[in-house]
Amino acid sequence: MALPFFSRLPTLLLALLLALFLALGLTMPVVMALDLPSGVVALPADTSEQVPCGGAAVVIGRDGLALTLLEALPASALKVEGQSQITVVVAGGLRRTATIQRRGQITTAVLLKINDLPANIIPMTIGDGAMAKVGDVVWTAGNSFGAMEEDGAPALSRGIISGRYEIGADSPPVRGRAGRELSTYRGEVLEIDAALNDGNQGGAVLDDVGRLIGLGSLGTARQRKLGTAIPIHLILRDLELSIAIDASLAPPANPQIQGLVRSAGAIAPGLALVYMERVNGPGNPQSIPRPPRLVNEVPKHERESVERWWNAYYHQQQMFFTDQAITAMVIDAKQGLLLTANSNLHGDAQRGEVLLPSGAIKCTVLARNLPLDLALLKADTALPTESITLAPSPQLSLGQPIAVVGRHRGDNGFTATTGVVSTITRRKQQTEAMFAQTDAMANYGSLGGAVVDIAGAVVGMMVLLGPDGDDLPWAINSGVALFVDSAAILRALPKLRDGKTSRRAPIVGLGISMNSRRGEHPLITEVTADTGAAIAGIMVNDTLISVDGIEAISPVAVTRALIRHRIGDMVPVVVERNGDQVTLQVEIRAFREDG
Amino acid sequence: MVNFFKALAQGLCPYGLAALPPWLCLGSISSAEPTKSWRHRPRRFYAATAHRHQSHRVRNGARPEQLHFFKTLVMLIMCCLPLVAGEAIERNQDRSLAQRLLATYVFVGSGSGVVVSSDGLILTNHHVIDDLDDFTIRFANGVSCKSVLLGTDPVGDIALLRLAEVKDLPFAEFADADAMRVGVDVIAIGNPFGLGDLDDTPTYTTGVLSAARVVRGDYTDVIQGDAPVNPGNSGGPLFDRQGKLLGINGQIRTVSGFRVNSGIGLAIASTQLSAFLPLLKDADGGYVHHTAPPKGIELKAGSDAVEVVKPGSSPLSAGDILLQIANRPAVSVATAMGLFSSLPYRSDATIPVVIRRNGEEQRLNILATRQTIPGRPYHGIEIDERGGRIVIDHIDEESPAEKAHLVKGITVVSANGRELKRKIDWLKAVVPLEIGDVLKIDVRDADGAERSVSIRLRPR
Repeated sequence: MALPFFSRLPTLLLALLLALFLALGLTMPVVMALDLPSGVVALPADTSEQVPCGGAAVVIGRDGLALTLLEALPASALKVEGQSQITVVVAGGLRRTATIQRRGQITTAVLLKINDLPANIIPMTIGDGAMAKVGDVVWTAGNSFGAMEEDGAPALSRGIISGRYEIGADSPPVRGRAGRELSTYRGEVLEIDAALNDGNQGGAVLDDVGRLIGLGSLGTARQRKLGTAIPIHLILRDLELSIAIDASLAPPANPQIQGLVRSAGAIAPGLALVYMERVNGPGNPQSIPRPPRLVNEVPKHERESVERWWNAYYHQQQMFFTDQAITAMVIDAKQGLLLTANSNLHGDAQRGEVLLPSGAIKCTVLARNLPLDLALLKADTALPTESITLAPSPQLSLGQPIAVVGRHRGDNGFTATTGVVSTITRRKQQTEAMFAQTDAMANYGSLGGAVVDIAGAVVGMMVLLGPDGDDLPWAINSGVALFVDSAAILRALPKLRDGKTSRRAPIVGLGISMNSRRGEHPLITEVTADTGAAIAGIMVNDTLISVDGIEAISPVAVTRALIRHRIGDMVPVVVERNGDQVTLQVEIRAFREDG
Repeated sequence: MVNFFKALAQGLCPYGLAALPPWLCLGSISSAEPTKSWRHRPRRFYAATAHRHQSHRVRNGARPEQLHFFKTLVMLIMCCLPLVAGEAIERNQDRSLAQRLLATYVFVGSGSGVVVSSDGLILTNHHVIDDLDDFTIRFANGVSCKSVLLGTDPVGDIALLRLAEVKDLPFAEFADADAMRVGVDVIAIGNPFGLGDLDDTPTYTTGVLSAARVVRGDYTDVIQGDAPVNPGNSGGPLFDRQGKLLGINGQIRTVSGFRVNSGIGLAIASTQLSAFLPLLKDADGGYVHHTAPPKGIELKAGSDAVEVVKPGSSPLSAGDILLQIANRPAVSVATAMGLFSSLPYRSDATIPVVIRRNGEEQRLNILATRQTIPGRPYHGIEIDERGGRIVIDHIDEESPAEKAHLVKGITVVSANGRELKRKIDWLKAVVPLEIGDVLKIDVRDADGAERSVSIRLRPR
């Protein structure tokens, strides 16, 4: 069939008109930022309280009705039964008083009435908290770190709903300053990866058109340190308020986020929860005591060591006390093979159970790859789950949107946080091990979880290495999280499948050892056989002058010169021998220190 | 722009076809009835041609249903093209945006910096360079370059470096105030936790602008963002999606003092950066100062605005309502005091203020006073009076005086133009000096040689 249209004048005119239409449309801003909500309120803490800042509340009626949570109120208001008065700061900075009307029984919600609400404060419209699902874009607006108490400007942060689940009745309490229990709420929460800090308790959690769908709570954050929100419909029900839900606007489609979350949901059936044995029993076997003071309570020069102490303590708490299962990727269901982060195996755990709705299946650790933080588990039988296919050529690029997928209790429950690829060539040492990095929130539930791109390809697995390669995870939810890309995993798999554990990655470099002398160029003390240096003719007692044009003034300088190179690169090395300078072309190879 | 393509495509395909204006609905035109109404002129135009076209086709044996299907198919393809094109353009734009931004990034000390002019001006934080003796910076491709400190602002936490070798560099342009809108996308580039120390690879994170041009603690013009920033991001850039510099990341607010991101990153806004840039360029390696609130001023939070209780040395009166200071709204007492301190200090600097007095709005220009840089001014010299001369008795290790090669035993002839005979002369010359001021002393060495030494006073 011919294409008569395209040879026709009207079609050309149509195309021109379409182009004109689009050109005119270019001047219209399509993506609009969220308007700053004026219905957010700050609740300053008592000055006598030893807390960093107060909480927040949300105005829901022109008559001054506002919602908040118990954990947001100043301590003095909590002591008095019945009505008590507190000071609030509304958006814009004006101060008013408010009285407590009543408290909920189940959700720790509190109904306030603000006196003399200024005319410019617009109450929040209520969104449908019951319909909120993983992947929905959310915004938090509150009094984070007390900033709104100062200048009346709530701070906004954007994220997505990363999970939706129940806080079980048996969950351990989360304590705040001075051991005060933050919340007694046990029930359904929305987990979000937007910033939710001290000061956001009782504050707004909004959907992408600015409707209230939950109140922020630190009491349900658990040790995973991601923010949680109590859905608004449960709060309204608990306070016996009937306020109409605004169903007029649909949140704008965010195809990028939706694509990522769809990808996450598609591969989630290939993730499994594994409960690893506690070799020395549950509890506190490493005996790291709780640090006696908080980081900002010690003098500056002690802060770094106290931080590390807290990190170790929290890590131990998470691994042993909270008794969590870990996430693993099923890479071969028929063979019963699961891949997870070695950091997940806390210590010498060798055995575990794959938790499935049909019943648990025992598994053991087959092999580990310590430099890449991988561990391969083998289940006793085939697994009745799907397998995850790792992308052979992931094609990561800087700024590329990705999602980090974790598992949660429940049949096909999964959590997803989103972010971008921050780096693709992260090397912490001069070895073959190279990592990619993302700013998506990643924490204990994501270790061993999949990293997916918008097309649904599994491009990596989350690992979490200590800053010096020790097995202390650090900085969860910091926005700095390492993952191993799928191609590197596929290269490491054959050895893992054979049951061989790799403890050290081959060094990628010249093949020399040197004696660094302060103020002078280093002396070469050893040349390893079969390395690029040996083949190029570098000899013991040569003085190393420069590598790849960079002067060899220190071992760090040499490492920096080499670390950007890959196996096979030819690198010019200048050495001094018997008074003469010689330039040699050295091939970068992988080798082991012991030859 | 690309977002518009996508929005349009979303609207158009495949379920939004009903929303198409009639003159775009190629496939819906029936071949059977060309309309005659003038109102439907465009349709008639197409109907006429379609009709003609149809009859031609019919004559040649093609069936109308086939043509109708084909028209719909073509329309679907044309509608989806913007989506595909939009996605491809956006991905390409994203990738090239990231590379463009990365080219302006530099590693400075254990933190970051950003190139702001093609001839090599680099902005970073004061606290990043404060303890450095060597200002060698590295680009993200590993190339190192020496640089010189032009000036630093310890109160505002900004420092300006200039690259020693001038090249035609890619640089970041400042965003202006109307780009600083809450909710817009932001991009941070930095070196969190020193991850890039070995592999020269910075970290790229994204988020949204959380609060625009606020006062936060010591920072008087802050862009707050939730793009993850950690120790090592200090001094580094915060960009918007257009690649313009919104600010320099400087501080984070954290949980219990744990120096780890919790979604609160404070960046010094580019409005403050561009205001201080000329002062920093001319600072000759020294400190620049901020304006200060009028001496003795007292403010209170009135029922609906900030009120003056005591005007101090300013031309304000008790009872004045402060509406704006330095062209920004004075929303609280803390903000007002911060705004008074937010401008660069020059001897003729004034602070514009908008007040309401007796119901009327008035504009005033308050003469600015210079803010003292906190800390004790320190040089490291101890002197002694011996036989009518002032002699250096002790030089502290690692002090500014030691770095200026002063040693024990040297005679100090004069200080800042004042001839020194007795200890009191020395004290009269030195005590009034503040941090950032220069102590210029003429000394005579043991062998009689005379020279001049200038020491910039730093905080201890």
